[in-house]
Amino acid sequence: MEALFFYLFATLAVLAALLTVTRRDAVTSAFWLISCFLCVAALFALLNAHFIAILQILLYAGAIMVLFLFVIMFLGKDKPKQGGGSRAMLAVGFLVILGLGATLARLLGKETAAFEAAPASFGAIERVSELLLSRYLFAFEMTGLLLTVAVIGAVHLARREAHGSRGAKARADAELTRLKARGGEGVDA
Amino acid sequence: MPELSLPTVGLGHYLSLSAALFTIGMLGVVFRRNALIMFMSIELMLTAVNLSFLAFSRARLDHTGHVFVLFVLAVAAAEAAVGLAILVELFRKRDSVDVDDFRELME
Amino acid sequence: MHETTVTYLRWIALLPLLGAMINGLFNRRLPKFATDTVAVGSVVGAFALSLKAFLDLRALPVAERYLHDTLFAWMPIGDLRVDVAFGVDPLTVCMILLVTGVGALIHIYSTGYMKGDGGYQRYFAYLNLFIFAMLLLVLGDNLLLLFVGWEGVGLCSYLLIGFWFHDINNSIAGKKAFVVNRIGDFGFLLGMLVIVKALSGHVGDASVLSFRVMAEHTELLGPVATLAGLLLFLGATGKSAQIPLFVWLPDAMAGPTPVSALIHAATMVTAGVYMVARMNFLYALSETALLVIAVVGAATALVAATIALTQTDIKKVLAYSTVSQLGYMFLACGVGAYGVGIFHVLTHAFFKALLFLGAGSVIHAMHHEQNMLKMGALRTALPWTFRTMFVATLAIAGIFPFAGFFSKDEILYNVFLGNVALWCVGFGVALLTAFYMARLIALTFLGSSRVEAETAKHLHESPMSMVAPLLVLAVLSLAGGWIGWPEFMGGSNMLHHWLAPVFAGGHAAAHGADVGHAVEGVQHSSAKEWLLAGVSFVGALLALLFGLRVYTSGSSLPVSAGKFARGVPYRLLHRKYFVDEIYDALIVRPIHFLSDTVLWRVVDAFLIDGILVNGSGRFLSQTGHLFRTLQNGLLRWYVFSFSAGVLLVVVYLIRRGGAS
Repeated sequence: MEALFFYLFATLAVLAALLTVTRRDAVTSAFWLISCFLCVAALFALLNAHFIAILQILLYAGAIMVLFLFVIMFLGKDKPKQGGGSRAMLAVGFLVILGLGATLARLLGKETAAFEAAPASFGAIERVSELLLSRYLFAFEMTGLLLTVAVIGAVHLARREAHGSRGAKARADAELTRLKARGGEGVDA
Repeated sequence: MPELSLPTVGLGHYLSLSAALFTIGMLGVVFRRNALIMFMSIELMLTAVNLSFLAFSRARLDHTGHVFVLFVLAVAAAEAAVGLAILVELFRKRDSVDVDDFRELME
Repeated sequence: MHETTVTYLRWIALLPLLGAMINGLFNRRLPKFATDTVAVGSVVGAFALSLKAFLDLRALPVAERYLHDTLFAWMPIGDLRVDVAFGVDPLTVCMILLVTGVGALIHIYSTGYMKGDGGYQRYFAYLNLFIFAMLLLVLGDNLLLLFVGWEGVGLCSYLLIGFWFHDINNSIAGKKAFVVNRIGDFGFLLGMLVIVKALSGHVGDASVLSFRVMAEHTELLGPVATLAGLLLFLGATGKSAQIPLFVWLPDAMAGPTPVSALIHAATMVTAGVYMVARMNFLYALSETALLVIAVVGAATALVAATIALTQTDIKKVLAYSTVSQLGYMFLACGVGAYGVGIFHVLTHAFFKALLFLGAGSVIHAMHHEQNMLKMGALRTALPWTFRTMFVATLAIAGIFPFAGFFSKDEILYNVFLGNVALWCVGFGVALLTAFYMARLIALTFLGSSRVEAETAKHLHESPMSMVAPLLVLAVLSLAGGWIGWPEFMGGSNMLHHWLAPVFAGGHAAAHGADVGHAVEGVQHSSAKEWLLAGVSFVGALLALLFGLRVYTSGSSLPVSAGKFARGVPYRLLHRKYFVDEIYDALIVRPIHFLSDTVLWRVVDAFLIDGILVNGSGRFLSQTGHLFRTLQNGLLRWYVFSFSAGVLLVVVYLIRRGGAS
């Protein structure tokens, strides 16, 4: 049974991944990536990592990809340009990366014995949090700090319109808007 | 229901799948010019790595892998946020998200 | 031998050096009389010191006649040790007296001859420098110091030949002299190296090239004697203008005439003879080397004398005459009669310097016309020049009792005892010498005048500064040979006895007699001596008279001789056997070709410039270009590079770890 699910979701994940990287349209790519994540979440569940599986759906598919979609729609349609680089270069690159993948697979794929039976509590949230708040407490706190910093950074970057070279135009526009709001005389539309 | 005699799935299978997803992600990074799709490929690569972590964790019955995946998830989120913010800024400058247009790293 | 150390020896050489430096550095800022005083005074001072050395030497017992003066240790390097040290023995004292004495006379003469010349001070600086170098050559107590002086005189010769450098031909002549000398010097250097190699390690820390040390180790020199002797002699053929390196001397006549007198007659060219005489202990070990020297000397004497018969430039006649007489000196050394060779050096210096200075007087009066065909009957306008030059002619022809007779006769006697064939050559040359000198005198001073009207108006005898040295040299040309008045004629041959200790070791392989005396086994009789002396004298006298007759009576002999056998012999002689042309074709042109086409175009321009220098630059540039493409700023390319690198590392780790 397990094997069947594995092969099913594994195939779906690979297909979804392939489709992700090959679509012209960014939105399509994003949706295929979401489906890939869902398949992977199923695989996580097969590995008894229930907590992580839920997190994968919540965070990755639910939050990060939504953010991606926001930005894609904010930036508008991408005008496809012709790819540069010779065919030979592309072929070489393709082969190199495939080679890497194949090597890794060969390297890592040796152990084919089945997993040992896991205790019922394996992968439960209690077990994970036990580790998280004891041995890896410091990293846990640091991650919190990291997220804080990231938030600040992202907000700051997004606010830059008020200052800098672009600021002049923005300020002028703002000024114009204010003048227009106050009264319409003597101001060109 | 007929008994399907599929081979039992072990650590190696998961790891091979992880390698495959990782490779696909890398292909996406190298061969796509759209910055957003590159980003998404990177997320794909990270996910592949998460998969391998969890596989090892299951094989060794140790939760350390789970913890690590948690961190990866957090960092991926942070990275996505900041990265996308930068991307937006770049877009405002050049009106393009084609990475080939940003060649400032050239000597 | 016991040696006496004196410290005034160094001043013999250093005084002229000082003179050269003063005149050289202060140049035109000195008034004429100051230049004269410094230049002439330094040489006269050196002469005075040489006299003192001579007297000091004479006061010593015969076996201890050696004055020594070490200045400093020059090269103490491992096995090789060379000091700058001067040594005076009977041979050296003759040479320094000659160099400083005749040198002083020529300096005095030059004050008159070079008057008004733009490079007056430079001339005297060079001339003093030359005296210094020549003294270094003869005073040095080791072969290397001799070589330093050897090179120094070569340099000064170059400077003085090309003195009037505004005419490019003079510079070319100077260059030719220097280059030809250099070829000989190469042989000299190799000879020195052979000696050093043979002796090093066996002489302790003594100075290995010192003459005394070398003479004490003749057993070690034996095996290399022929090689070293011939190599050193090669240097001598360059410096002393023998076959095959004599070609520079006639061209050297481009320099001022006093220079020709001093350097190319009296002193520098005799350096080769001095060297051979000095190294007599080496040559005594090699019959072959001595034979070569004798044959080369005789051949050169003959060839040069035949060429002198046809030359029309007065200085060229004298130049070839010098080459011929030098051949005599080497002939003497070649048969082991080193002392007689030195005797001829001395007498030749007197009469040849006189001949050149006299010629200078003529040229001066003729406003630098040197072609004898445009002279004639000058004895009325230049009486003193004529008289002194005639004395010199008698001397060079070997007429009794003038100086040349004694030295030449003794040479011929010693050669006869060794090798009759060579004697025939020597005798023939004596006849030719008398003849062409008579020709010179007749064409210049006698007969009817062929002088151009313009020049004839300004003919006048030279000033006293020029005539006085002529007179002194004339006296020496007459009486100078009397120091060697032979015993069979009732004299005591003072010179021979004076020089004998120096050549005591030089007779093992000599062909003939030792310094005028018999060697065991050779029949020695005064009857033979009288006979040969008589034959020489009569032959020379007849040739002289014949020559005078032919060229004063308007005989048609010269013309018909010139046309003989369709003028081929004449042309051959007149064009000096085409040696210069032969050398040019065989040596100069191939070297030019090699240098220009091969070495320059191929090796330098193409190989070195093109491939090595520019090529390596271009290679680096292009490699750089190649690597530049890796930095294209494309993000994806960088990612790809990462993955490629990772792949490589992984593969490497697999290989090394033998799979996971």
